[in-house]
Amino acid sequence: MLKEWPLVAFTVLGQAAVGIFVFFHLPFLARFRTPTYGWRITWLVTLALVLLLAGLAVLVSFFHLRHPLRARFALSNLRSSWLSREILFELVFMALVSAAGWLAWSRAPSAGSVWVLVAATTLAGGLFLASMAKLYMLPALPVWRQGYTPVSFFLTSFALGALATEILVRTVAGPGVFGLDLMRGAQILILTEILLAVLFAPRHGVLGVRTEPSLRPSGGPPRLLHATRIVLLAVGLVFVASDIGSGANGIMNEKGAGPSLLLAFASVLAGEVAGRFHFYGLVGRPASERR
Amino acid sequence: MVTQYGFYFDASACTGCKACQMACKDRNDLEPGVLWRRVYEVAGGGWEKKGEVWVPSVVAYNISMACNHCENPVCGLACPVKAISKREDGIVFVDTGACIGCRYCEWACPYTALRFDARTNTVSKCDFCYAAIDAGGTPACVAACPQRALDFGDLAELRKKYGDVRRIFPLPDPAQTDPALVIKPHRDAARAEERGAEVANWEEV
Repeated sequence: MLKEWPLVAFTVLGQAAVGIFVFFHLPFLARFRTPTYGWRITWLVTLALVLLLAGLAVLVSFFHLRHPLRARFALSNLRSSWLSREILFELVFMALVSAAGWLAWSRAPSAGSVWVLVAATTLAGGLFLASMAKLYMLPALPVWRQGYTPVSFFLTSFALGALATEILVRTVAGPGVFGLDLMRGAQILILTEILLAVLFAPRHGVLGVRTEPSLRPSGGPPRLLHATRIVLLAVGLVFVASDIGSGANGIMNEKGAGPSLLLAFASVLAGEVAGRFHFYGLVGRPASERR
Repeated sequence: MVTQYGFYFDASACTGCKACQMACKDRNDLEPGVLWRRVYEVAGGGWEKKGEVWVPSVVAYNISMACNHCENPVCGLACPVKAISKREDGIVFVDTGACIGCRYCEWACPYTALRFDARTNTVSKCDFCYAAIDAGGTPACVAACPQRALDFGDLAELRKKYGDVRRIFPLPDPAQTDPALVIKPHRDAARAEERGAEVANWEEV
């Protein structure tokens, strides 16, 4: 299970990158506006962070390949392999984020072109996450082949995205100026994630799918990992509530994220990592791998 | 010409001696821990009360399993670099020179036929001893079985000869991959699931 760390890092980083992009651009997309006036610096910093996280995701993904130099052929099977499609959509997402960054840097983009580019990037990010989930929903693996897999992947993306975007906005632009209540959003997302994990997490959720007899070793992740994830998410939720309660996002405050928000992000991130190790631990490798 | 080679396995005749497993390892010079053919020991049950009498309800049988050279090889469909392909005679083989070692096919195959080989840093699996087949010979596992519990040939012919059973507990639903496999079930197989049977030798397979 711990050997799957490159995949844990790849999925969590990739999902966080998409989540940050979506949440930063959501208010602009919804109002058919562009973050060109008043938001340019924050926009550039956000795009740079998204690109950095997506790039890191690509980098760590090479660590799970035994022949990384042959990875240049990984787009060969777009016709049937969700892994090929996942890589394609990630590359498209990164290319479009770079293009948005260039437009933001060039200072003279037309509003229409920015809006279309941002919408296309959001779509590419969504397809990246969808193909990331779909590739695990294999007929051979009932514990992964269920709605919980894509839902949990998207929730990870949105929960980390909302919190990270709030940190960025408060730090670069200042508190209380963003047109979206990200902290309330994060609260709902984290709570949903906890409830779904308690109820539907495979193997350890109350109503979660159990491993069926098969030719695959049944091993499985420890229940402690599932509990750790829920506790960390709950701690994150407490810090989010504390941040909201303390009025840290008040417009009168100085720039800066504040300790509650930073601790909330750290707790949720740790919870997502624990949850992802639990996810990969659900499916055992044959005997040769266990040596 | 054969369009789809397949294996026949007689679970009622298999004693679990693992001669097939060893012959495969020997023919293909496999590293320790890499098994292209494996013998699963399925065991369960115990005692059950019938009226006033306790009677044994034990189920125990063996399953010799390799790659089933499926008609719908999901391993190949999942491979991002098309390193797994199907020959005209239905044999599915891995091009280790193209494999990137992502091991996604290991997850995709419900028969766990794909095995990681640390020597080549790629996955590998049963290739139906195609070199021997092409020369008119026999797969090593089939030739080694002292019980004649294994056979091979054209899948259509095997079905004519032995029937069309492709699933016994705990094998997956054959609709997933259309395995080129015909099985003669052991008499205990029908009661294995209800008696809580499971694979008893995970450390060996």
